[in-house]
Amino acid sequence: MVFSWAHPWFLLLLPLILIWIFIVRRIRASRSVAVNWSDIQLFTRAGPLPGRFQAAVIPGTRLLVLLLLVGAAAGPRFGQGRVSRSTEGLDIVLVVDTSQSMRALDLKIGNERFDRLEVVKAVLAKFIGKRHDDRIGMVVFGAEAFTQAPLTLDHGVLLKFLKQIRIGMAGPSTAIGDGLATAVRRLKDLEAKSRVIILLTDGENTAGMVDPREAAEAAKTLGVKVYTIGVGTNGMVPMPVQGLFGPTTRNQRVRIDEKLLKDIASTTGGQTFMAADTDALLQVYDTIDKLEKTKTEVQEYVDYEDASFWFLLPALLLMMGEALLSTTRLRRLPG
Amino acid sequence: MLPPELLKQIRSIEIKARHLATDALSGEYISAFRGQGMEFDEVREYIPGDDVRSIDWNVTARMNQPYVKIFQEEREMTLMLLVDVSPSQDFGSTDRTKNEVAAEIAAVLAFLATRNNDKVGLILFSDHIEQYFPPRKGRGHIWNIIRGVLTHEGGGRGTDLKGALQFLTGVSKRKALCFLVSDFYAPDYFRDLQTTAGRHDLVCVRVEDRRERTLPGAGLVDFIDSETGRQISLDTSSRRFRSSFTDSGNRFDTEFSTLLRRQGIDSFSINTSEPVTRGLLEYIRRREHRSYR
Repeated sequence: MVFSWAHPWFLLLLPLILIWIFIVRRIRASRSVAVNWSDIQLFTRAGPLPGRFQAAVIPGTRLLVLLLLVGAAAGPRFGQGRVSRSTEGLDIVLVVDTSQSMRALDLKIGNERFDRLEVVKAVLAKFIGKRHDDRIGMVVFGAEAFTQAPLTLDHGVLLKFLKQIRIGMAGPSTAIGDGLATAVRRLKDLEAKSRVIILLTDGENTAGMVDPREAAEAAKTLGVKVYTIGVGTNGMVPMPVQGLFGPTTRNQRVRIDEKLLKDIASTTGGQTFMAADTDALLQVYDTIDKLEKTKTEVQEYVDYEDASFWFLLPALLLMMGEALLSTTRLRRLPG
Repeated sequence: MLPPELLKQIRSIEIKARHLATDALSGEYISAFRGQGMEFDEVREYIPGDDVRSIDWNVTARMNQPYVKIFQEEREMTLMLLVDVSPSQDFGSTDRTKNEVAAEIAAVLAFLATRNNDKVGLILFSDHIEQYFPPRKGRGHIWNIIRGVLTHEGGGRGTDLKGALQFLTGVSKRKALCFLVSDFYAPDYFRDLQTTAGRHDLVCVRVEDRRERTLPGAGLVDFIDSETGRQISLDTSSRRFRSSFTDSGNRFDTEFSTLLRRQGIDSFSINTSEPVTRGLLEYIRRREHRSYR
């Protein structure tokens, strides 16, 4: 609650009133109405004069009423600030690689090794948590590509869908082109000002019917920006395998087609990031988060509550009191 | 020309005063103020036609020629009236103001004096000498004096008793009977009062209004001092103040009369709510009584 005046310039009347009172008093003193007394010393020698206070009550009350009325005219009010935010979110499609190579255990969370997909899912969950106002969809691809989640603002559902992503759910190979194309199709008919695809992969385009570069061209035509992320180590990585004595790991060569990713990104005006470990991946999404700012319009409103009542009521009461007293106990002779 | 109502007022004062002077007060005035008896003046040769009873036998025998005594009525007396016409006198809670009462008593005294062939002079004063009528005889002069007292428009803004008394000393060298009519709301005049009393037969006449002693409760009242213009607001509903107002009035009165009595100066007071003659008559009786003793 903040107090303020709606028309503060009315307060300029206050000095004017004081000047006016001063002038009126002067004039009144010059042609005063008073009982002519032979000698005022007859009173003063009798002791302290009573009524100094009583004589000041009525003029004081009138002055107070005047001040209160001026105060009421100036529009006193209590303001309650309120902020209204209108946002225009982005449409983001997260494209996630679920090929077999995502099994590689080269990423850690803390000190524990997890397969790439687990790490990616954790990072994505964090990313989704940050983008409140965006519609987000998910596309997974392996040998083929499908929409895991349509674009939605319901991020709770989104997180549920995110959890259900499994390695190999779309086949073992890596059809980057199909994934990208599916994502582009998702975004095709939407009217959001800013449409973004975040493509995450760890390998080369090994399958699919759509050439990734063509898909990138399509994205460019539709004005969709594609960020590409290459995750994991480019080269030898530990892969879990079913050995004779239970699961074990064996180093295996994995190649990331960095050039392709770069091409896709540069075609569509996006950027390419390489994330060799979890922190790097987190940073990548942070960077994208920062690059793709949600447009927010913030409007501040103040709800005002008129407080002139609290000026007018005392003024009214004082006026009534004044009317009562000035004709009875504090009546002044000669009128 | 004088306005008719004033003329009427003067007329009524004259009649009243003359009536008083003739009937009630005349004889007492003589005995009180003039003393009695005849004063021997001189002897001269007898001229046929003189009253044989006035022949002074002692002188006749010595001179071998008839001589008569010449008596003269007592020397002429001068009555000086000093009347305060300051604004504080222009106050009255009844139908008369202190000024009018003062004028009335001045007129009565003037009439008494004329009837006895005395000279009457008048000094009107406020914070300065407003008007001076030198002592003279005659009915026309009395009229002038009454008119002077009544029609005088006070221009002063104070009461300068001291100045008035000094002026009296200046203009009146011979001993005179002086009546000082005022409310005595004035600063330090007492020394001059003593001086005047030493030279003249001084009588102080204090003019009062009952409202200068008792205040009615009327709530808040604005008062303005008639002389200084000072303004105050007063809650007259305060019982305590009203009683202390009365007390201080009485105290002032007591102090005043005690002071005068101690100095042997005669005084009496008249009130706007009483006929002026009451105070005057009382005083004359008192004085007459004293002079017989």
